[in-house]
Amino acid sequence: MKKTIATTMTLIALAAAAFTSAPAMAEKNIVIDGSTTVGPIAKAFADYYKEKTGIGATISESGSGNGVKSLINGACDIANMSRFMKDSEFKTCVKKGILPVAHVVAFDGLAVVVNPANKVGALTMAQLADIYTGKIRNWKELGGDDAEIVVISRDTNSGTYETFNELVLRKNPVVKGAEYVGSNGQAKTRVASTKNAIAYVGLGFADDSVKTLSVDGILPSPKTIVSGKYPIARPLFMFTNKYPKMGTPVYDFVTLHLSEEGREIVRDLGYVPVAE
Amino acid sequence: MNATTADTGGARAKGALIMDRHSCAAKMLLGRLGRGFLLCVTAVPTAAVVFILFFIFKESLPFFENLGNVREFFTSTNWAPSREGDPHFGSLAILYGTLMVTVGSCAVAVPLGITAAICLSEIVNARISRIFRPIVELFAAIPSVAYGFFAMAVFAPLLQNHGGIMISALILAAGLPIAGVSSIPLAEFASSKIFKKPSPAAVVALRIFAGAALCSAVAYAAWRVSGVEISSGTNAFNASVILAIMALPTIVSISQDALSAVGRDMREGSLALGATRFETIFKVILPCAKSGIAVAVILGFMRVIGETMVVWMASGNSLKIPEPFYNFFEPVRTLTATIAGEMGEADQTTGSARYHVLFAMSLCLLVSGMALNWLSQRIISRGAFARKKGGK
Amino acid sequence: MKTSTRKILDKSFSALALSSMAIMCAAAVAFLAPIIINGSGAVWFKATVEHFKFLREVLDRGSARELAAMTEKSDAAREKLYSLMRAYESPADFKKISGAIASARRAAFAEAAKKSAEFVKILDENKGAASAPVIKKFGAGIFADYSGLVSGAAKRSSSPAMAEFLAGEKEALQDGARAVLEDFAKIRKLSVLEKGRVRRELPAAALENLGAASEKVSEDNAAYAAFKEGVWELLGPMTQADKEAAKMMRRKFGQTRMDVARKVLGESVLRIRVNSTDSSGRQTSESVLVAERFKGTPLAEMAKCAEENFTAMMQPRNTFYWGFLFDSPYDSNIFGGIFPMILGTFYLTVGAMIFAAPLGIVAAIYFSEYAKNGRVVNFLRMCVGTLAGVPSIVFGLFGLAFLINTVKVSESKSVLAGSITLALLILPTIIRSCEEALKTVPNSYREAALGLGAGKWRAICTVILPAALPGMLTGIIISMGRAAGETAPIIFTAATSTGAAIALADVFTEATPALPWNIYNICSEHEMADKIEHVQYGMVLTLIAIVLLLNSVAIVLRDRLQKKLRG
Repeated sequence: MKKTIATTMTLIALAAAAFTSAPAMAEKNIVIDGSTTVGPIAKAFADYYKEKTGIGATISESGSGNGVKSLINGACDIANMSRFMKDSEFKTCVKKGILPVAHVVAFDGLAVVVNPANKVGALTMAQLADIYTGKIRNWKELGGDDAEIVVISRDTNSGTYETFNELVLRKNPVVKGAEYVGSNGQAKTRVASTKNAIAYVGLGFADDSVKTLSVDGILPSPKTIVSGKYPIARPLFMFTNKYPKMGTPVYDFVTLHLSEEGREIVRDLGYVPVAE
Repeated sequence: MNATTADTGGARAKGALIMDRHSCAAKMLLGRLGRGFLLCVTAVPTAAVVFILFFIFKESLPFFENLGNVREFFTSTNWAPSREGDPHFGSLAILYGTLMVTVGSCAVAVPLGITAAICLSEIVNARISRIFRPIVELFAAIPSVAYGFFAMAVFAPLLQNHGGIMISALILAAGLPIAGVSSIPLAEFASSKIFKKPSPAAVVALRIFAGAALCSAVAYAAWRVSGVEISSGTNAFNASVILAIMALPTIVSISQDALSAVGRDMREGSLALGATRFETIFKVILPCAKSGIAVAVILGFMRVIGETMVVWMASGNSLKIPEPFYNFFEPVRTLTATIAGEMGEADQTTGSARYHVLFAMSLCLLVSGMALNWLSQRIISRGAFARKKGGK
Repeated sequence: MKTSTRKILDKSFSALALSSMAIMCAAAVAFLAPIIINGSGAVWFKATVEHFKFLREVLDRGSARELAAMTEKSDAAREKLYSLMRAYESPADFKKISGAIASARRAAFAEAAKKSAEFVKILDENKGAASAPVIKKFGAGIFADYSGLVSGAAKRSSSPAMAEFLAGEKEALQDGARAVLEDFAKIRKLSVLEKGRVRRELPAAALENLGAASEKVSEDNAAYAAFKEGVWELLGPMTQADKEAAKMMRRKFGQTRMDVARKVLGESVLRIRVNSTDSSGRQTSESVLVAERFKGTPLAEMAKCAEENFTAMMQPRNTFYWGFLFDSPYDSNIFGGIFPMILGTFYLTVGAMIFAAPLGIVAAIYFSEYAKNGRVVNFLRMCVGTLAGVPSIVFGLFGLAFLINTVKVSESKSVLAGSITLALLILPTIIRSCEEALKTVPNSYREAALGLGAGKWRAICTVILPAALPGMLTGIIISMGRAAGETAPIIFTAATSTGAAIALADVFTEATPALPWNIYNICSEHEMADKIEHVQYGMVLTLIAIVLLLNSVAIVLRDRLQKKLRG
């Protein structure tokens, strides 16, 4: 039996080796960490970049704060962030000899979404804030059905939450009964499957399975976001340590969004390219 | 290194049938070295525990230094650890959520698990038991993320759309038989209290009355529940049920061990005295195995408290103590889910208070785990699983 | 209590206990059934022609001839829809209509020039601002025919070309008004203010009408654009040029699976999202049924055509896609398989075993063969128990903070760091099961070996370990299953969400995708999570299959061992 086991093990190991016989990369992978909102852009860029140059990228979506952390520890080349660095983060960077440089890769609006069966189609900023701080608890008060509002928020650690909290709630705490979900996708899925739910997600995530509300009479769209008419919008960043040396893969990567191809990818994902 | 020691030892043993004093001493030294090495390797888990403890203690210390923080941690529900300038660390709701989910899952898993263990060890024959055992083990093998996925993708929508009906059906299915069965001893007991010498007709009448009363109570409960609208499928109930399934294998297999540790002679003695199997189980076997079953429950408890992915995906992660406090259909949040969800963003490098409070939570988890572990060890060392024989 | 009662109680208790087993079996079925059914859908499903196109063009797999036959059929069906769409985009009578409108405009301005004298008289009679409505009225009369034509055109066709044409008309009107000023100026010199007024007010009525028309046209066009977008999502790009220009794979191919295609058809083609403005000026967005909202327009016809030809356009056929297990994912798991995740799980599991198995076996040997009950040993044992009770998320934190940030086993997340973390997690289980296995070796073996003059080590290595090996392997394999399925410890230490497989040489430095983490990732963080449900279920099924496979190997091994010991 020992022999059989040994043989099986060897075979498995050989098979694994055979499967991974892809030639070792001449150039090292670009390591990217950070926000889940910027994640889809980074992933699509990585796919495109790999196709063009053969250099791959390792992407972890562990949140904006984790991105900074990795950048400071030297564990990543690019930190994706859906918010700007905080003072404390910036200071720590500098203390550790890291000079963070921000690259705005796209703009994103936070779409307020509800279940398609919901009658409510428009909210004002004040109403939105009231829903999220618990002053409005029933759809009836907004002209909808008589049903309690299921408030869904992003985790308090996400950049998306921080943007929403700052722009809509003016830093007031979210109502205690709110459900917290870990990502945009989850927020959307919860709303799509929950009749009385409301959530906010990045514009790229608001698809046909949910209904997007207008805020202060304006629906989020590339046009209304760039013009500043839509009130809940933010830039998305990639941070590097110093400005990357020209011609390096990292430089190519963080400037991809400026090229026509990069802008098209950003657009296809539902975000707004810079200088649209 | 381990192998070399062994080989050398082996070679020496082979070569030296007659040993001189020198080689004998060398051998003893080698033996000592070998033992020392073994001890060192064995100490790896200990070292890991010490490191983990030390590390988590060190990282949570800054939080505990501020006594006001600690009081807030245990008494307030205001959780806003990242608000700049005015952070709050009230974790009462999170602690309560952990407790709620744990108690909820134990309420499902303990009765089910113990009856299943009794069934496996006492009622069905060995062959069927051998077939069922792997099914129980299957539950233990399935990864937690798969359970979490199930809870989120299958169970939550089901609960949301047909929750009331589903649960009331469950109550009826489980409650009616139990009500029917328990009406029998109840009627017996009541009749012996009321009448000196109960006539059979009176007993039957009482039995019917008790049965009807209990059944209608169950039906009422089911009817009440069927009207409940569950606004969100990811809630304490969902997490509890799924966690119960995860804790079941632990409870079943350890309880079964405890039950089978009760000697044959006890069983046979009891049966020979004319007790039915039911009475044997309840009056003889269960009392004998109770400490082993307690260990099973404690270990199941531990599994539930430490579980991360399921609660993260299924509990809804809300920061509120449900209203009323026993409402299992509201979302709650647990310690593990908070750590998993928030650690990604807590500023470790800047050493913010939020980072430390998360470690304080880990410490709570660790301490409760250790306490439970210590308790179970205590019970085991008192001989919970030692073969119990009748006749002292 | 009476005997009969006791008997009934006994029987009913047995039934109750049996039903608890039944409940557990039912739970197992309820849990596994949806996962197996939906999960196998990742491998065996009704594929559309787009799936075969993807296989052929990207992976160079499948028969080109068969594909050509399928493509031909589907293209024939698609052509019906596409021709409708093309006809809408550039309608046949567009030239005629636009020509008529343009000549009507020219005629109107010519008439205005002819009536210069009359016009200047109006200006003389109405001084200052009072002249504005009069000029407008005059303009309305002149442009009556023109406006009628524009409104009629907007009603008949609202193609993108028409929208463009109407936008052009607006400028032409303004230019024309400027030109006609010169004719007026021939009669008498106009002041700057008058000039401005004439320029603004003369075409004002026509412009208003034009604005309304083009708003209607552009609204219809937005609806058409949404419809076209839906068709793109369903069928892929319309032309080869579009396909080449598309950057992302999801834009190059249509839906590859019939079930998802049907969903897309229902959500994005037959229903479209339209934005409208309500009475109080607030925009709202709603999803409407094309056939109802746009009844009688070309759009409704297109939707009907898409619905009728749906099957023909997609050319569904049942297929086994084994590549799901052996292909890399493309465009974040929307296409392709999950091989890198399987490989990553394999690396992590084997890595964890490499660290944990020797440690665990040695520790078990110490506990069962050497250790005497004493304080130290009790403490060691208690620590093993404690380690078993540490929540998995705490292991993850520990791995991040200790292995990566303090010891720096690797620069960032890596398979190595993840393996060590997992190894610590499964160590207690391995120690316990190995100890159990060693305990089952009868004492007579030990005594016999020692009695024959073997040293303790020799006895352990040659007699006890071989006898206990199957039992130990059982424990180790079950722990491997546990390591394969753990998520929390690898979140911070080893897992990445991109799907590129890493080479064996990179395990010391690079993070890897792994099934447990990627399951969490794609069912919660993916931007198209609801369109790739099959991948989620497929991944879960694969993970469960791997773990159960390991466990059944262990169970078989254990049964063999038991038979051997008994026989």
